[in-house]
Amino acid sequence: MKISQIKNKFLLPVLTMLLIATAGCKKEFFDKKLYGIQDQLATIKDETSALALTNGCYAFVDGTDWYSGRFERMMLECSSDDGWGGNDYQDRPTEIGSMGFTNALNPDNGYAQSLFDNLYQGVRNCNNLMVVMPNAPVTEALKKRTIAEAKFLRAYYYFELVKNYGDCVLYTNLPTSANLIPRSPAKDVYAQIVKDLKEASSDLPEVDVYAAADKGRATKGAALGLLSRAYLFMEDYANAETTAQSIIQSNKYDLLPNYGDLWSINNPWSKESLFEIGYFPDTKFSTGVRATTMTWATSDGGWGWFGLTSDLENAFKAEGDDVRRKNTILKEGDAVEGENRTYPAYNGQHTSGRHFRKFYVPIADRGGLYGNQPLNQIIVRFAETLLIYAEAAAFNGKNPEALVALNRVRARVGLVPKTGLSGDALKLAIWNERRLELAGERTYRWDDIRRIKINGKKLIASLMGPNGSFVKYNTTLSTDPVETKPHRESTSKGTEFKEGKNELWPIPRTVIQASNGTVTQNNGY
Amino acid sequence: MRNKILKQVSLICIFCCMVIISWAQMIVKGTVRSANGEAVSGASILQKGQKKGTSSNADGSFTLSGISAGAMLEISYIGFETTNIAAAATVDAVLVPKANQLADVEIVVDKGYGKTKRNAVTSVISSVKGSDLAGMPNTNLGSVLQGRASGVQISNSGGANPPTQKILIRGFTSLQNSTDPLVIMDGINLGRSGLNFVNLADIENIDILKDASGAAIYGSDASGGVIIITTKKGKLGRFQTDADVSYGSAFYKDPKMAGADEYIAVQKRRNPAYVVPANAANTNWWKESVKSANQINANISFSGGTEKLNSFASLGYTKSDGNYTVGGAYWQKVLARVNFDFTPNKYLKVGFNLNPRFENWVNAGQGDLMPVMRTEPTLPVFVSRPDYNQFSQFSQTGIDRNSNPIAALSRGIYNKNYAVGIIGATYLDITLIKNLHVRSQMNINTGQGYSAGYTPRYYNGNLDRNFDPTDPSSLNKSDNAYNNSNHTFNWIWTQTANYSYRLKDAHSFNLLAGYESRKEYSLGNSASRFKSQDPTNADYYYLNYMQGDFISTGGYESQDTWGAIFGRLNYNYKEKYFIEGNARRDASSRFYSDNKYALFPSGSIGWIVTKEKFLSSLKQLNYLKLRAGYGEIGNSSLNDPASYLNFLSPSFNSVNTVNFGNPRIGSPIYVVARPSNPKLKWERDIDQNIGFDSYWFESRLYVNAELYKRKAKDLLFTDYVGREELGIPGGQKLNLGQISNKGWEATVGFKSKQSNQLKYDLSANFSHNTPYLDSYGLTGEPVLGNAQGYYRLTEELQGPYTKSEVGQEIGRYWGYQKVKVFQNQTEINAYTDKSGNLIQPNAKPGDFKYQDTNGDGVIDDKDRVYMGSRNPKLEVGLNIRIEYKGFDFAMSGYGRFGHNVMWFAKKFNYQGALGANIFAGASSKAWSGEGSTDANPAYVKDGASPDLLRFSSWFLEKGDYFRINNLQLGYTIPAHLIPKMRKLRVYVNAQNMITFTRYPGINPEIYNADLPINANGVDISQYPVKKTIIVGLSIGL
Repeated sequence: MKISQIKNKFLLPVLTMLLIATAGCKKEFFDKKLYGIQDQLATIKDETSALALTNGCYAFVDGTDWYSGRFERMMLECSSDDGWGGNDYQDRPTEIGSMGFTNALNPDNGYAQSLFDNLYQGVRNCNNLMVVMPNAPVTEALKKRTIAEAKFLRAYYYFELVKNYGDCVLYTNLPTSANLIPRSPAKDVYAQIVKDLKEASSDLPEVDVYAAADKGRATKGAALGLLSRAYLFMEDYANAETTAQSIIQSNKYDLLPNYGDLWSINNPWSKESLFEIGYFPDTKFSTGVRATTMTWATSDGGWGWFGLTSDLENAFKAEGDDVRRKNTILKEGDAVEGENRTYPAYNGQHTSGRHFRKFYVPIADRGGLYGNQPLNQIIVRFAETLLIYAEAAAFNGKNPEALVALNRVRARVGLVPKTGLSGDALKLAIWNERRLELAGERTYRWDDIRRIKINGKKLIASLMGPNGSFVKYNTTLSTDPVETKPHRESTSKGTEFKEGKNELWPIPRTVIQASNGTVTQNNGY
Repeated sequence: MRNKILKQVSLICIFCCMVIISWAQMIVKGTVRSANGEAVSGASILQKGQKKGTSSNADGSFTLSGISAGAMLEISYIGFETTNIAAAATVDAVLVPKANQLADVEIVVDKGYGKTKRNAVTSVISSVKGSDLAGMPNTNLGSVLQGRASGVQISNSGGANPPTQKILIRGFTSLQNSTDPLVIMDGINLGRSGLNFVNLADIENIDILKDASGAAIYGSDASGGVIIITTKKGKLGRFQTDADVSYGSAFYKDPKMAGADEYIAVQKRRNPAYVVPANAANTNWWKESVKSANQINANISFSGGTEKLNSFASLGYTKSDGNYTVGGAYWQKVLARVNFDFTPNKYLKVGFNLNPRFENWVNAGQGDLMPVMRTEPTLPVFVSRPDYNQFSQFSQTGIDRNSNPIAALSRGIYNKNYAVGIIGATYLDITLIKNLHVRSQMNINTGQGYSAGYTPRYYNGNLDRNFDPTDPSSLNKSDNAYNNSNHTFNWIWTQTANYSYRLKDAHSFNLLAGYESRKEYSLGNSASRFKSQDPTNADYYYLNYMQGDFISTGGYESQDTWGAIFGRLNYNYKEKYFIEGNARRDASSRFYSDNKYALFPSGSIGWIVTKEKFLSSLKQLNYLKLRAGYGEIGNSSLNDPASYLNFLSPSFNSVNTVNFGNPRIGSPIYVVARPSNPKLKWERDIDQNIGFDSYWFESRLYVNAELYKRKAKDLLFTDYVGREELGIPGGQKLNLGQISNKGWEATVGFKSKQSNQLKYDLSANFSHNTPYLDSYGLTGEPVLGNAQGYYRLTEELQGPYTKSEVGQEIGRYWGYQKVKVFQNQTEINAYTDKSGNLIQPNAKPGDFKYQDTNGDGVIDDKDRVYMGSRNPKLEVGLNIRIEYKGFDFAMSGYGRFGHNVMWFAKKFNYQGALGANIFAGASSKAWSGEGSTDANPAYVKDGASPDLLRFSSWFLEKGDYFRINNLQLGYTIPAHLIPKMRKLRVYVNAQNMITFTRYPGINPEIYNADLPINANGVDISQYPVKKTIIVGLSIGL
């Protein structure tokens, strides 16, 4: 075969083959669809998907699981004089039970980072909604409502951030450039919270306007309830009073006659609830709230986290408050109300043998996978609104009005009315009422001891620290048979508290790093 | 059973037939011997001017058919002068050794899309001969390569089945993504983890491309180097059968943990309130849980060839049992192979190879060796209580990882895993005109995996905890079954054209041009569900008999594509000066728009100095080649390919489903999952290398050395943290940072004369590599080595333990400097700052005294200092082969020197933290009173002394070790005793028998697969070294 023949026989076909291979694998070959991924622009195309995006903004209110967000919130309450880590058989109760006061609370702490991250995820989703929704193919009415829902939720997230981390990196859009924003002073953050809540309250429907299927969405009442709380933290007592008053006067809400009904799985979205996260156990999915199971005694199938202190029990007893004591503290060895059994005891497992009754679910009602229980979590409730009103009124010098609101809360649990109080005595009575009424819920106590000032000194500073009254009680005065036993969890909690530092959690180191120091650390960390 | 045997027999028959087809009759008989009378096996015998030929057997004999009378036979063998002899009925050829035994540079190596003599190689390639690996346990290629080549660091991680190794060639260039080398077998891309699919017995040769000037031709995914495996092919004119069987035992050395008496004494010292459990036993968990295990290997191969056809077929079987007494763990695999090449005429060559595999294994329950070493000896193995079964796990301390290992391991009995796959290639090679070859090769690599299992109902908890069997919520788990399957299908289609041209016998050119496209496709699904219809009957342990809730269901599908156009030009002048240039333009679907494409150039030069006249007088130096190379190579290895889409994540099935309405129903949600980065582009690794190869003293001494610098820039970086304050969630892909590796490597060897009866080849290789962080992350802040969640390391140590700063070495340990142990209060009181304040006011006698390095009077984060590194200063590999009169002996060893190991487990193994058991006798080493010791602190309750929680120099140990990882002794029966056989050899092989080290923990060779590489090197109760001894028999027919 001559070379020319070979050329004819092979060269042309081969070159053609190469050309085809090259041409057939042009650009399109490298544009591959990514399966199972929802591109935002393509996904928000109707009312259902727009609502799903709105629902996503709610997902971070209570944390996304026991380990991200929810547990951290419980730990905050454990840091107060109401709670212990409680779980005394695993190896971290001391760190968790007194998170705010030990070296474990450092900028590398995973819990401090997780809560921070969880809250900013909420902010991000709300901001995203406010950017996407105006162009979404849905009705103007739905746009207005969903944007108002997002504003309410953004305010909630920033409120949690400013309480726990102080000054915040504040943004209300989706920044596209990589410019790094420094922290804004807490007062600016509060101003944004007030602005969002005011706008939300004017655009959101009243609680009775929503269809049954929308029960649980943010309402005008929810926005006002959160707003009155924000005013209280801002020490803007005039606005706190008028805002709380407007809720009371709206007659949309009332106290439930029976205090214990608030934590029944059969009583979701009650008359007393201004804002509440719904949980139900879907047996196919692991939905529900696990925080409940986590607080039960290990002998009751729980983990034993968040034990309550004998100090709190004493506070109930001092007030003769048996109804709320029994509905707050589930003590090992005591009869379980409504069930024919004694709460099982295993003292070696728990720091105090006192469990959180408000998270208790009767055996018959338990369900869901992995201990996820069908118990809704109330975020804002009317009793708090009454106490906000009472406190603001007391600061505004309206003692009789304050007493009326205070006594309305006390009357429900059969306590005698307070009379004739004024000034500091009245305020102390209201603060004590907050401790008893709201014990263990939504970080009220932890927030209060960092907020309340007595004689110019924050309450936390007189409770904690080497000479704090709570520390002194546990280390020298207490005769509680369980708490005074030797424990893995140190019952000298609070000794290491440092004033001017531990009122806030540290900004995660990673965040400071990522900003190259533009975001600064909190004092002392 | 009968069917099974029939299947196997017919399979073997098919293999035989395929080989026999290509085999033909022969007439000329003869022998090939060396000048001193020794048989030369493997010599090539060719009829001159024809393609007819064969090669000699082990006894030097050969037979050749169809030779016309008077034809000349050309007989050649590496290291000998080629001889020509006239054909006759009987031919006895005598080969004379070459005066200058430069056999090594004549060896052909694979440099990617083409082979060349080592003489012409200008990049950095290490080669390992398949024959050097013969007889090693066929469990994983990774571990047998350890110590064989300089600059190739292999760490065995864990002793689990299947075994895993971490292979780093010249360090690493990413802190997040894969840095494993690419594996190419016969031109087939097996990806970055393909070594498990290669049958050791099939390997002819392994070439390791270490620098980018060599590896760049493979482009994407070759940034960690390339391991090229060439499998055996049929040899001309000879049909042969080889079989090898071996049997052995694998075992661990008992770490000798404390018994109950010592354990109780330690617990009492740790906590005076410790109460000895009422039912305290004295369990030796090691003896209860660990045993020696069988290993079986069997291989058979057939090969042969004519001038037109040659083929090779093999079947290999390996089974290794688990080393646990319960749970029934084992791992077995069958690897088959057919290589087939057909040359119908001088213009055409076609062929295929097929490499099917089957694996199945059972994992040992939910346990590993850590609980075996940590669980308290006071715990009885089984506790008989109502409603508890053998899977129930009790603990006296209540700590997760101190719980009965037997119970956890036992749960393995119902799990099963299967994997089948085929790797195959078919090619067409056309010689268009003289010296122009066009080749098209299609490769497929497909696999399917399936695993299923059943976890019975069991109880986990404290032994003496109250438990009400009637309360279902007290039982920790319901029984459940799972079922997972996955499929992968990858293909690569490569077209290359290779043209060589020689001008005036002085200028040689070789031009390669090619095009390649590749697609990887995978999908899978998984489900697990509670509650069998009949938990007492194993026939109901399948998903379809489960009647409870689904625990999880999942599925995925993904596809990625790559492609490249590449070219290579080689030029040499009189085989003295060499130049090579490469260019490769890569494309990948993982990037967006124009960023998909990137060009990567590379090149290298070589100069054989000994061919210059001015060196000809230097008789001792037989060969010297200087080399220099520069290369750029792309990397698209992302841990998640969706790099440029801004996407939402729907959550229908998790806790964060939001529930509205009355009655409450789950409402679908979308949350922002990850922001896009359309600007993401290829990571670029840039290598520079200089080196030389030299042979001295009749080429018996060989020395080569390399000096290199690797730099990876535009690192593919996943911003896990995000910038929350900017609304940028974690997960964005960015090109951020640069990592460099600087190092050198050298090999020195000495071998016997070719003509000696005592043959030996002794070689040692040395390597050093230091990784540096040039820049990293968004802002260049130091990267701290944390292990959040990983055995709670960061929590237990109160912070990070390594720190990598920009401009400095990566992965150095960073903590507090321990000075001594406070012997008494006076010493504590004497440790004050300038103004007389106590530096460690909380300390008690028996606590550590830490260095106040910044002198500010308090021990805090600012006192942390760098304390040694996990990067060895020197790695040494040692290889010895000796042959004498039928006996052969081989030894290889590997060691690391000049680095530290972070012995986290010391806290448990020495101090009994969290109630863990300690090494027998360790209690005598703890501080027990004034003057007792300065080495270890007093036994204290967990958390009782905040000063003891710091990560200090106490945790650091010198990690130097040298391990004889392979010892082999064989004897080949002389050929005249076995006239019907080509070869018969018996051998004994011992792996990892001796380790020289002063490291006091279990095993100084540490790689933590779950930790990032900058936070690696932590001994968390490392697996001991698995030792094996096998005896085997090789037969050649």
